Order: sequence, then C-alpha cells, then structure tokens
Amino acid sequence: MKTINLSLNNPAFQDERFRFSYIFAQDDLKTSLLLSGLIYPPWGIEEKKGKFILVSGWKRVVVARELGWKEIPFLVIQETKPEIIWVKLIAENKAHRQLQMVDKAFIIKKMLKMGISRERIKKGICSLLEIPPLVEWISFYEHLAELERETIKVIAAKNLPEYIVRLLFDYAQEERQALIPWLEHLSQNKIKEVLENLQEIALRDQLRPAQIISAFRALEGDRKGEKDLARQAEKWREHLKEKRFPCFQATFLKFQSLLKEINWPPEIEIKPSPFFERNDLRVSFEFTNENELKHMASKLLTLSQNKKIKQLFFGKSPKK
Amino acid sequence: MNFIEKVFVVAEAYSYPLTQRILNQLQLKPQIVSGTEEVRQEIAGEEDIIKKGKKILVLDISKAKFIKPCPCTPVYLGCGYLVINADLNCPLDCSYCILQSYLDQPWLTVFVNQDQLAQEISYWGHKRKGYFRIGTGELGDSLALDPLTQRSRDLCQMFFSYPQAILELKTKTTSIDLILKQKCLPNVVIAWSLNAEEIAHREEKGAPPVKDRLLAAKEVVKKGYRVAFHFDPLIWYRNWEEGYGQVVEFLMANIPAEKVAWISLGALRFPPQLKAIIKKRFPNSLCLTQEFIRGLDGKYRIFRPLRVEMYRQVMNFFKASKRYQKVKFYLCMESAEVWNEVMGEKKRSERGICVFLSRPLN
Repeated sequence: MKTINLSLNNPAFQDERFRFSYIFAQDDLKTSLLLSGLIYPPWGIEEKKGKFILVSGWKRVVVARELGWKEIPFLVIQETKPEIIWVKLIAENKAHRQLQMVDKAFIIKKMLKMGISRERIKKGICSLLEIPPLVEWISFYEHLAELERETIKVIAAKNLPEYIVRLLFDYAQEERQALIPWLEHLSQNKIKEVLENLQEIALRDQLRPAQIISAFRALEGDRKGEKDLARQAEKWREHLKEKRFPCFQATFLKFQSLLKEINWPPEIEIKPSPFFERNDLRVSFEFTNENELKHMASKLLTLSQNKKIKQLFFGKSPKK
Repeated sequence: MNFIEKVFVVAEAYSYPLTQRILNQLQLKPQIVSGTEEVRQEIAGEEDIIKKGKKILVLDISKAKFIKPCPCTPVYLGCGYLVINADLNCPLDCSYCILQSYLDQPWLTVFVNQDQLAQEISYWGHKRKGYFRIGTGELGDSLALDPLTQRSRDLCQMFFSYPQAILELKTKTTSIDLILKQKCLPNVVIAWSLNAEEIAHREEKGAPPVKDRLLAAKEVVKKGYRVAFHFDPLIWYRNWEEGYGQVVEFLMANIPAEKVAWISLGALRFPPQLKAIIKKRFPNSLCLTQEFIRGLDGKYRIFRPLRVEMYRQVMNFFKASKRYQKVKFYLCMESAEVWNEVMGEKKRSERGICVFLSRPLN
C-alpha cells in the first residue's frame, strides 16, 4: 500500500467502473472538506504501471473538483481481482454509513458490467449487501439502476422501500416521468397510495395509466391549472381516491351533505361505524355542568324529530 | 396426478396403508425424510415457492387434531361448521386463495394417520346428537387429490355410522369418478365452489370451467347425492350481473332444487398480507381492483353497499324459480347487519344458523 498525489485531471478520476454513489447531498461534504481537508484519502488500484483507477472516494473527488482543488492524495492498494476489490469497497462503506437501496443497485449493475456472474453475486455479495441471495433480487436491483435519473433521485430522497420501487417498475418510463413531479411532493404513504390506486383503476377500467393522467391534466387545465406542484399533487391524490373508491366516496359525501341539510351542530360530533360497516352511529359532546348537558340533550332531541334523520341510518332490509 | 414432481415421505408416515396406496398410484420414487425441514430446504431457493409447492407432495402424520370448529372470522357471524384438516393445500392456483398466506408450508400435505381421524369422527359422532355439518374443503380442495388418495371413499365409510353428521366434500374440480363408484350416503353432500365463468377463467388457474363443474354436479345428483354450491368469492367486475346470472341460470336448468342442500354466498375478503402476494403472483387479478375497505376483522372486504347489492342480485336470480325459493341460502362470514339487509330483519345467532343449515328439509 502506498500514498501518492494525483492531479484531479488524472484519468483515474474518469474511469467510473467502481463508482456507485451518484445521488448525494454535496453541501455537507463541501463544508467538511473546507473545514478539515481530506482526512481519509480516496483509494484505488494500479491497473497497469502508472494507470490508476479510483475505487473509493467518488463523492470526495466530485466535491474536491467543485472546490477547485488541483491535486489530492491517493492511496494505492495491491489488489487486482475485481470481486475482492468490491468486497473491500462495500465493507469500507458499510463501516461508516448505511448503504441505500440505490447504492446497492449501482453496485450490482457495475459488478454485472464487469462480468461478475449473478451466481457469484448471489453467493458472495448479497449477504454483504444485506439482500436476499436470490437471482430475482439481483434482477430487482439491476432494474432499479436502469431507471431514469429523476426517478432514482426520488427513490433516494424519499428512501422508498422495495414495495414502492416495484410499483414504479410497473409504469412505463413516460408515465413515471409524468408522475415524478407530483410524487416528489408526497410522503411515502401517499406515494404508495397514488401508485396503487392509479394501477388498480387502470386495471379495473382497462385503461393505460397515461390515459388517466392525461384526463386529469385536461380537467385541471379547464380549471385554469394549479401552479403549485404540492397542491397539484394533493389534488391528484384526491382525484385518484375518488376514482378508485367511487361508491365509498359517494356514500361519505352523502352522509356529510345530509348532516349539513339537517343542520347538525358542529359541537356535537357524529361518527358512523368505520367504513359504514355497522349500522351504529356514535355521537359525542362536551359539557361542564347540568345546564350544558340539558342544552345538548335538547338539541339532540330536536334533531331526532327531524324527518330526514332516518336517512342517516344506513342499512335497509329488503321489502318482503 | 402428473403435476406432482416429487414425493417426500416423513419416516414416521411410511408404514401407513394410505402412504402405500398413494405411492403405488404415483410411481414416483419417494424421498424419505425425518421431518419437513428437509422439504423446506428443497424449495428454499425457488423464486415462486407457492407455485413450486403445488408440485411437491408430502406424506406426513398429523400431530394436531384433525377436526376443529371452523375459525370463521372475528366479529362476523359463523355457521357452526366443523372442519377436517386431512389434506393441506391445493394443486389449483386461484389468485385469491387465502392459503397462499395462511399456510406456512407451501407444499401439498396428505396426513396419512387415518386411524386417528376415524377416532375423532367417532368422538364427534357420539358427542353431537343433533345434525351438524362438517367438511374437508377448508384448507384444501376436497376432491383435487382424490384420484390419488381415495380419501372420499374412506371418509364416507367413516361417516356411515353417524347419519346426523352431514359430511360436505367441497371442490372446484370434476374429480367425481370415485364418488360415482361408491354407494351414495344420504349424509354426504358434494359441494362446488362456483363463480362467474369470466372470473373462473381469469382467477382460478387450473380449475375446470364452471359449466363443467355443474355438469359434474348433475352426474352426482343422478347418482342420488345431494349437492351444495358456494358462490364464494363473489367478485365485482363489469358485467358481473350478467356473469353470475348466467351461472345461476345454468345451475337451475341442470340441478333440481330439491337436491340442493344449501347455497352460500360470500364476497371477496382476505387478510391484508395476501394483497402483496396476489400482486406479485397475479398482477392482472381483478381481486386487486375491488372497492375494498378494512372490515371489522381487519380484513379487506368489498364496501358494504356493493356486497349487499351482489348478494341481493344473486339471490334474486334464484328467486326467479319457485322451486329454488325453498333452498337454504346463507352468507359466509358476514355481519348481522348484512344478513338483515339481504335476508330480512331477524335476530340471528351462530347456533341458529347452524341448526337451520344442518337439519334436513323434509
């Protein structure tokens, strides 16, 4: 092992065969480098005499370039077998951070590109990456690394779990590109909800997701468009919910409008059974003395005499 | 039974007569194992272990009780049914099948210690004086493995002495050869799970068309058996009324009402963990497109007004026939509210439903 100084223009820093960090926040690293310099130099191998290849430290190199540095120290290790180099690289990274799903995807992609077989990855690398040693999982990560950059960025930024990433796989590239600006503004749970609802509506109505997206855009266009993407994302989510659960949404709205119609007082809370699964309704109100209790009870009595109140009771038996 | 690729016999189970009968039929060299852990290792690396499991047969002995009260589902109304867990899992591959998430052993298991099963049947036969319903179709199809196991014949023999026990053999198959060959017992009911033909074609992989099932039912009726039908799970799709209507029409045209022991209706429901499995194994399944809510038991269920609409409509199809108006209908795993909405207001209990369904019509 030896340390040398290498110009940042050296071809060692152009060969990306071991690079797997493409998406990361540069600002913190910039501050750190400005404060204390390069405490841990990047390391690599000497492929041929005088021909170096950077293995670990890509983020530091990218930021050092941004800072206008000309030269950095470079640690050269004596190893030539790619699989062993990967093992060292993964172990070193794992020692100081948790590898993200996107990191693992690029590691697998690069290993496959170097000719390391799926079988070798399954046996020697999967456990190191803490993923199930199955070819299907290797394919999953390979697929992830092939996604367009905007989608990968959202997966990394939102730390999306495997289930949601698989949902994204089910969409065509142009559909994902149409969805990403909205998904960026939603939480993980809402992203899952949107992707599932859209897919399920498409399957039920025998449409392509792109057609549903276009129909929503046309509708929004007629309403003079919403420039705020976060609000638009929320509207899109609501729109899908209505389309996905039309009967439930209609029932819920009918219930709400009936409460308005009979002037249900806001100080008395009324709740149907969850999802109207049972007939019972629950009312609750607060009172601090006898008079308040009498007052509320009298309000309820008046409400109970309203003819329309019957419509609140959901289930009806068939006529005999 | 050429779908079976491998047979494992747990050493303890080897000497049982049923094991020998099955091995003679199969003509596959069995692998003798000390326990099912070795079977698990066999399929561990498979991408779709559920699919693979359907090609592996394990002959084992049951250390648990064979007969148990049907667990039904919490909060909703049960029907007092008893289940016989003699075979576990099913070679058919229905998208909505609960067994995909319910069983932790994905292979087909046949429990061969029928001596214990006979003892348990005797116990329940002596314990219950009134009529009661009991069946094998809970954790597997009652007849799918019958050509291999001849279990139906053994069960009929075991139930011969207990006429108050109504044995139901529930299937989606047309494996009725053995049923037709044996003497018909009045306390044996052969039942079919039915669906709209489009749903069966799309969601019930490996199962015969619904018309074929009904023609098999017709054969069984000719032999003298009573039959039952389960429209379960009812699945909402475009043209569902037409689809279910056609099946009911064909059923009524081929099966005399007086030979129908009961008909059940149940809308699609499943525990949340099954959704990911369906999505992975059957990405185009209509089960994923239902208007689901979370039921009182935590399971996904179709929103109540929609399931009530389906129940009422299917019942109306039957009510078009005067003869079918007398048939006993019941709802599987439904709330008292939904029973009332579909069948009319009445105070109902599990005991009442159990008695209503078990007692003979005449």
